[in-house]
Amino acid sequence: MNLIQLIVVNIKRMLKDPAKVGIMLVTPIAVIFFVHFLESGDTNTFSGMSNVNVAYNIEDRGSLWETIYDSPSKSQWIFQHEKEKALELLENNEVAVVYNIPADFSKKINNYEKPIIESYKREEGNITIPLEMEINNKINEFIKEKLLLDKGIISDKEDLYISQTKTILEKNKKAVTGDMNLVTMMLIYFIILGSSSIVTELMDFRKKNIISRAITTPNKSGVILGSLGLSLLFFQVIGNILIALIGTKFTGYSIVNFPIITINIVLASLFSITLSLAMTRLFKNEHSASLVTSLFSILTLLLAMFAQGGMYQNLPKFIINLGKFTPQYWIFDSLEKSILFPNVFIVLLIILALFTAGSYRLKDLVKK
Amino acid sequence: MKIIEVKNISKKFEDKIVLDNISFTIEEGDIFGLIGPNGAGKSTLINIMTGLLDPNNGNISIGGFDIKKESLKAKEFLGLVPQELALMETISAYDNLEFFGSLYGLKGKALKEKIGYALDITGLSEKRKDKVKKFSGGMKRRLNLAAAIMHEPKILILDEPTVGIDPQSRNHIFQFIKSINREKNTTILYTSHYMEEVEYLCNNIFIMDEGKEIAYGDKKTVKSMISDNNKVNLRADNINGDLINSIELLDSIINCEVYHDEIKLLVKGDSFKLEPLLKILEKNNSVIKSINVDEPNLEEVFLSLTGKNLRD
Repeated sequence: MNLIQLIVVNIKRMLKDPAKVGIMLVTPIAVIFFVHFLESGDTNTFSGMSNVNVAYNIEDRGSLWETIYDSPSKSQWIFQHEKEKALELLENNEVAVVYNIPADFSKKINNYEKPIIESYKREEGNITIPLEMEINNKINEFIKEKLLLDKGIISDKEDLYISQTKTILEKNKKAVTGDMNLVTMMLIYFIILGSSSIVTELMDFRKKNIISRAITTPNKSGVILGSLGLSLLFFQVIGNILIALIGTKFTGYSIVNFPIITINIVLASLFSITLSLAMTRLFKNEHSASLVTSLFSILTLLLAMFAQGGMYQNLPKFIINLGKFTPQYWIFDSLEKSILFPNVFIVLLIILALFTAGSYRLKDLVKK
Repeated sequence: MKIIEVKNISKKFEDKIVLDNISFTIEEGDIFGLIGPNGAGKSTLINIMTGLLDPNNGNISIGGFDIKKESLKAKEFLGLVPQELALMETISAYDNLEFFGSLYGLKGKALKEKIGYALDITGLSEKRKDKVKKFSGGMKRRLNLAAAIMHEPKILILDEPTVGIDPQSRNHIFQFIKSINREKNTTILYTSHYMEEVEYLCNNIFIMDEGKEIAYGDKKTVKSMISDNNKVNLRADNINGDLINSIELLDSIINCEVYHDEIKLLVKGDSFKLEPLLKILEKNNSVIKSINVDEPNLEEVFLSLTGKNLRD
């Protein structure tokens, strides 16, 4: 029987199932817009500053306190030598924090020292952290500028911010842009996490005797299983790429290196289908198989993130090394560096190892 | 022409023998009944015949092709209506048939025509666009049947097709089986544990229990395995000793018992004639209220040969 015909009919079957199409469309769209929201959202809202009410009590004998005051927050009270009044606001829950600018604030800065600002809060929390980081940065900047000016290293503080680098645009430079990179990574995460729904579908096929009925038709087992796997592959790959392309039109992200994104989505989908088949073979119960598949997907994603380093560099070496055995690590690495080799071969080897770990005879699948 | 040949099929699951040296043949155009209680091994045998399971011993030929060695050619002859529904509930009846039709190699215009044929013949044309999950049990059974016949197979295997369905759907299936056999000369292999269904539909019968052959042959041969005798039940008035003595003197009477106004006779099936009995009743001035002649049914054959009821 014609493999292509069976692939087409399987894809048609999936497209006619509203639940499947819904999952296929909704997830990537949600991913793209979620990432877009994070990237382009209001930074003030993101840092949590605009809604924080703050009071300052100024004890400073100089005028440098104004350097931190200029616009740290929209909702603020300024008191001069009226600490009690400021604390009263805190008492009445009208402000989240009271900062007490010490009397030697200007003096210390003039001596290139960092002054200590006392903060009064009703409770522990991290809502004021961004504001405190900003105050800290401003003090650091001011001391740095003053020091460099006073020592004659710079003649004007603006000199500090004149760029010494020259940007040369190379039109053919191959790189997946940052935003799209994140979108692709999240799509890949969802494709692999989606293995659990493929497991559910395969087990449902088994439970509802669709596979056993298919075996009684004049088709080779390989053709039946192949058409099922390839239709899932096409369904996932074409669906995700289409949605990503359409999504970029709305978000404005640019896809510079489309082949690398496509190849990595294909690899992720292949891994997802192979993982689903392996789980279908291992488990009899649909819920256990689906749960274990989800856990496996999340665990391998975490390991891949650990192995990529960055903020996880302090983890034990064996965990970082273990992450290099996950396909996600090599896929993310490929996207990050815009390279295909050797990453593609390594992911294919992982998929092959998973696929050959046992028998995939259709009859065995039915018997289970 | 023998279209199905089952030779010495044995099957074990671990240590349990589920089929023990089963052999039979089915002629082209026959309606063949495979009967046995639940767990007799009928479905296992069907699974082997359709290539779902491999036997431990023996071989099966379908249309002259060995199901193991030339399975794809053998399967071209088959249409299977499995005992358990094999349908996708989230899509429509039409989409289900489109999917299964493609598995049988149908495509394009031919596929559309065959879907129409299968829906018409099973009475589901009006429900073609409805999702299967909205169907009643009987409609699902009919769609299960439609999926097996749309490629017009030479052999149609029906594994307990009437389990759990309403009388209307059951009659629909019976009519369909009779007509497809008559009009298209389709060979039918019908399995059931309902004796009356098999007795109504089938010409030849294979009775099995615990994986073994109990009886095999045409209906008459199978029934004669327990007895050639028939039962005559007669209700009349004015039953007295003289009447009974006269009846007992008839050659074909083996046994005669009286219960109030009813006389129960065991008679020789081939030599019993009704006329002498009626003359004796007339002579005794007995008015007949009712009279019926019973052949042994398959239920009694099974009971007689195995010592247990089919639905035990």
